[in-house]
Amino acid sequence: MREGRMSPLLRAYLVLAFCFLFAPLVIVIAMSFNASPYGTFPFVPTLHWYHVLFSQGNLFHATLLSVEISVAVAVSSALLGTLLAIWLVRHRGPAALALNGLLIAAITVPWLILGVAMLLVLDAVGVGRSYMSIYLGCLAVSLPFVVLVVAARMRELDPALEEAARSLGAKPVQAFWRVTVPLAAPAIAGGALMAFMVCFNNFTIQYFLAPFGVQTLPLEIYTLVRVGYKPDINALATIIVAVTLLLVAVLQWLGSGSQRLLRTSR
Amino acid sequence: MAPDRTVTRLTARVGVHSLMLPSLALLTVMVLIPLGALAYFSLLEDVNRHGSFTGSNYSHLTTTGLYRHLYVKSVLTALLVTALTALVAWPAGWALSRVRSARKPLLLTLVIVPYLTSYLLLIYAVFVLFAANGPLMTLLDTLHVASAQSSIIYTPTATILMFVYENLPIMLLVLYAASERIDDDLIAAARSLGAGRLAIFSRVILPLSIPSLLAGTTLVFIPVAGAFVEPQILGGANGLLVGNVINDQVTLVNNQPFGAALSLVLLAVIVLVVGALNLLGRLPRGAERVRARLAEAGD
Repeated sequence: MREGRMSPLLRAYLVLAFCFLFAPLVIVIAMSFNASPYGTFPFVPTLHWYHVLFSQGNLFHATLLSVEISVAVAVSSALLGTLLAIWLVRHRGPAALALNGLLIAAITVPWLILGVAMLLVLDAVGVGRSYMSIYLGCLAVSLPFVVLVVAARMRELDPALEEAARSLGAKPVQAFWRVTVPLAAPAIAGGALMAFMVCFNNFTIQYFLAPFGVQTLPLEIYTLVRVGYKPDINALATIIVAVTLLLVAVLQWLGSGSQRLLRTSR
Repeated sequence: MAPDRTVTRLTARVGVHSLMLPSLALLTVMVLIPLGALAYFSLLEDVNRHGSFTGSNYSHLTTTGLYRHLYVKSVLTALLVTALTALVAWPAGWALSRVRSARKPLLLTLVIVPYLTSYLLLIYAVFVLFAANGPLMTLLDTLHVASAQSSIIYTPTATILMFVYENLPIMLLVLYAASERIDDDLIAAARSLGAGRLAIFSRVILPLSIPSLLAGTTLVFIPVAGAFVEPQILGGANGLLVGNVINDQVTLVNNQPFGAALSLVLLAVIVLVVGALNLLGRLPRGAERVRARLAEAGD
């Protein structure tokens, strides 16, 4: 393979892989504009399902609930995660190792096992399934994403910048707030966005910790998908894919895109 | 040292450490204690009778053929899915790393989109695509390949396809990053030293990609081994995995201690398999050897 040239076979394979990756999403998006309630042909264009989505059923309310929970979790984990990242880049030793271990456990232990474990403990102390349980559970599994993104950025920052501020007369706290934090802000925003998406999409933790009858979006889709084809899910999926695309673009712009994701995802 | 200075230093130290205290508290309450408590609950006879310990959950688990069968099935399924995902993702990741056009950032952005889309929506999307009388089967029917009424939905194959589909983006990105680090000059050097295509792959590309392959394997194997929604929705009667039994014990049967025992054994199995895979990958120490050889050649 010469520099800058790709064999036609490899190029064709890449196109095929992208087709596989996007075929299901493209079909769902296309079907959201098809009038047939069973997803059958011929294709008759309509916006009816978008109207159904916002006027009937629980999908819209479930989405709002998920957004509320995810915003709360994203803001909290951005705050907690940034503080922890600041501490982690400045400390070594057993405490730092233990915290790293906890973060890795939170990010790698399958959500099924974590969800069951959280539910058993919350039941035993009398809290059980509750909004607070969802919030804390989702916060625990979202936190590592913020920490890893922000800590990585903090490690890249040149310590000389803070030292320069110090030598110009800034107190340590001033140097930190006026030099380090603004430089890390894009990473903090990126981490918060990651936390939002991790929480918004997390079915398993919500499944085990949501009070009975409370339907977040993943729980609502879970209930509906077992019934079969639902055209208003198609409409919702179209909106969600569009929003995800937008958020991913923002992540890339913040410098927390694919490269950062590689190092942080479970 | 004057006592007041000691106090100042102490408060300064506590002040700094207070940065990590909220996270430490959260992770302790929501991760450490729950995981530890799994062991405690798994030894209880009844979830409401604290203190009456028994090993019967574990003996029931190990002596019942069904559970052993499900553990083996889950591990084999996860291994198969990991291998298939790597196989599909590797050439694509390699190709993506060799894209030189301005479209590359857009392509990378696109790969992440399904990864950050709710996997319940992905399951639904695959369900719609493959459903009987759905778009794909209708197309295959018009091409006279298969009947529109038939479908792979509700079979173990559908579950495996779903797992490969949802894990493809992350494996692709990991192997893309690995391929990106393998310089074209390296391959040119190997070729000029007389290496054929096979030798270039087995003695340069493969050894240099092993660390990333292992990382990707861990990222895919663990969630698949602990999955329960995909088999429940797409797998049909024969597609159930150990995750489904855990879910049933906790949410349907309400046998929490047995659910805890099943979960803990699953966690142990996952740790063992991932540990074994990592050992296996490190055995040849191939990457270092190649680097050493190339360093020698470069001198």
